[in-house]
Amino acid sequence: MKMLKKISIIITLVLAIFIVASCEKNGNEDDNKNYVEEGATRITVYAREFEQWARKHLEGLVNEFNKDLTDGIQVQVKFYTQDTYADALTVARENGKAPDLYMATYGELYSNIRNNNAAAVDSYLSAEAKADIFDTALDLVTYDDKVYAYPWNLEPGSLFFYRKDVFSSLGITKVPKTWDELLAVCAKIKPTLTRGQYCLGLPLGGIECAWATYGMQQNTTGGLALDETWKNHRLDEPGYKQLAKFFYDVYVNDYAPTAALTAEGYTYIVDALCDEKLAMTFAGSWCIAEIYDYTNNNEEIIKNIGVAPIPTIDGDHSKITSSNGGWCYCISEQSKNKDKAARFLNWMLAENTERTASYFVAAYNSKAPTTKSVKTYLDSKDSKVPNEWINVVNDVASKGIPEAIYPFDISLEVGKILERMQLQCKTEPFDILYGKALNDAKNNIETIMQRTTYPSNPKYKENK
Amino acid sequence: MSEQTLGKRRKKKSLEYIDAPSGYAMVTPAIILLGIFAYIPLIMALFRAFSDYSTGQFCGFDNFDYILKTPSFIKSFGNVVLFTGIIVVAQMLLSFFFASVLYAIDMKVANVVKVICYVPCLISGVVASIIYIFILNYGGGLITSILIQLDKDPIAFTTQGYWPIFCVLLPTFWLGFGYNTLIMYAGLLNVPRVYYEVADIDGANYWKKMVYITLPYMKNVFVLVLVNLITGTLQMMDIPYMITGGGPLEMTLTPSLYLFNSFRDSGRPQNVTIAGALLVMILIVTVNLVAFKFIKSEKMEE
Repeated sequence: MKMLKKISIIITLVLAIFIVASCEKNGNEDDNKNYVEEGATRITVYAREFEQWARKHLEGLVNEFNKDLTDGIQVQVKFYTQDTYADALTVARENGKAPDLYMATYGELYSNIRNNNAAAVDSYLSAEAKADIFDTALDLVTYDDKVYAYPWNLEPGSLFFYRKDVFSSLGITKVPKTWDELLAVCAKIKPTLTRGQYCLGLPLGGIECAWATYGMQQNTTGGLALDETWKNHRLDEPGYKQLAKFFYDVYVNDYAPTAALTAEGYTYIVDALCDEKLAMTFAGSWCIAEIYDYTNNNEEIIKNIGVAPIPTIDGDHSKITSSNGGWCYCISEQSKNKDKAARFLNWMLAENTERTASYFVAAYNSKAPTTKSVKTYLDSKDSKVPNEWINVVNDVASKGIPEAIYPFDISLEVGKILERMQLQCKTEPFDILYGKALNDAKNNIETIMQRTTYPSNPKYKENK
Repeated sequence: MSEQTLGKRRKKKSLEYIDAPSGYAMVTPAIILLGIFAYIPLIMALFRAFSDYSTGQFCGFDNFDYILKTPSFIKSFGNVVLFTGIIVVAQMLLSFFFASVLYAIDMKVANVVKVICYVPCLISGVVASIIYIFILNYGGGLITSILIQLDKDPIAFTTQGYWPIFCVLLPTFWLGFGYNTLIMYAGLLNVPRVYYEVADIDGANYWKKMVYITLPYMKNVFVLVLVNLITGTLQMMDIPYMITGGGPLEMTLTPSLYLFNSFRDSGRPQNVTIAGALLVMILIVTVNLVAFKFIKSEKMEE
């Protein structure tokens, strides 16, 4: 009996220690214990972990900032993975403990503004710093003439990656620019593939097709799913049918896999290209860094990979071919130390070009800079990444459109049309399948528009 | 009233009085915990569901209007009703059948089989999903590897045809089968053998014994299993989240998974998510009430 009592006490103690420990270390935080500034205000940053190099880079910057023990600011960064970041942010806000600073995609920024989670940063941004930001980037963070975030990087969501060795072995000398050329290349490659290998990788499923095809939608239809008033859909534009037909043709001919080849799906689809499971793929610019990471800088594989703008309906690459994803830093509306949080952001992103540019160097130039000074700096430096790749990223980003900021449910309806082309292409002829998919999407969009809280386009008001 | 009766009453009353503090003491922690983790959050959720996320002001049914005009959420209800129907029927029939087999076979063998079929219940849905992902993965799962070795095309279990539904329901069934079988088996063991002996003397065949003795005696067990199955399946989230992510074409999206994704969307007004969660709660409570109503649970005779 005594033994039982002892065991239960030990178990209780161990459990208590675990609970306390897990509460204290929540969020995989970096305490930056080396630099403790007495009486300093602590600024908390919620950061997405991304790749290891990205984490190390931010930790390095934070440590460097904290070395100054006279500014009265101590920055603490908490890293969260893709799966836990949004949860952590929501939970912190719900508990009244919103971080002072957090990262957001440009697409998420507007919802954060609407939900009172992002403060305007105009007063913290010097005129010089503001003028240094590219118009494309500034537009992504500006609503009602107010700047709501520090644009950090731009990531075109759709680039074309291909295996040069596959092309050369089949005598393909020209990188496909149009969908017809792309399908012709697929037809040439397909007979040479073994089981488990595919010609082309595309965003797969409704959600991926919703966000990764904004550029394709803009290119093919001249806009996105809604007109600028957000009161009418544009799904009857002929371009949507052409886009759906492209997806249909790819999948009905078995050129692309109908299930993800990688655990992260479209995000790291380029891994399958490195593994020779794909001969070509659409992928985001961040995949340039992934190629280096995934292959462990294997030059033999890297030299066999080419990067270009995605093939489009007419092959005109002077047009928009991609949306600009990417990340910005926001100051929480709930923060009590907005000025101090802004001081850290200015230090990191606006005061020293070399410091800001170091991120893009660490990122294998897989993202486009948001400021002119950083772009000039990077242009003057040699990079291990082929210039051809860097030029494609910068060129596509300079023309890229913002991701849609209307409710994601609407984008999802376009994604679902394309998903049906992918998964049901062998069940019905295109016209019938597309007709049904279009009808469902239109009905659903109309339902969403009937919500009493359905928003209006903030950019449209601005233009009026 | 006699002196004796009054004395007894007084004694009973004093005993009740003496017992009361210990009873309250035992109930208090449960009430506190329920209050903290169930009732207070429920009241808070009700407030939140009727208030605007940005301003905190009362907004009537706006959040419910939002969630009910979300096609994906509505579709998820249809999905989960289908899944519940399939799982409930399959589990009830197969668990009862298997329990009957266990009942009929040798006790020692039955004990071993019981343990074997109960083991999956000790595994969480997430772990079970990972096991199934290893088996079904298109890129290099066990089945894909076997098919490629046999020079066959791999099957995209998570996206092709109705396979995704199968992929979600199979682990769900696997996880619950052992538990439900054991409950049914315990129920069968509770049926007095004397009834069967009498029925045998009267010349009743297997089906008559089943219909007139076993099934009526098992009624309460059926209610327990049915309610557990309905509640569990309506709340299904982890397995579709892990295996199919709710796709393809939202075929395996469940309300709980939709709400989970909605909660993870930091850009979404969370009061809408809360309103959706309340709707799911109302659905589950209603379905359970209907289940109780149709199969009236009876107190077993001593």
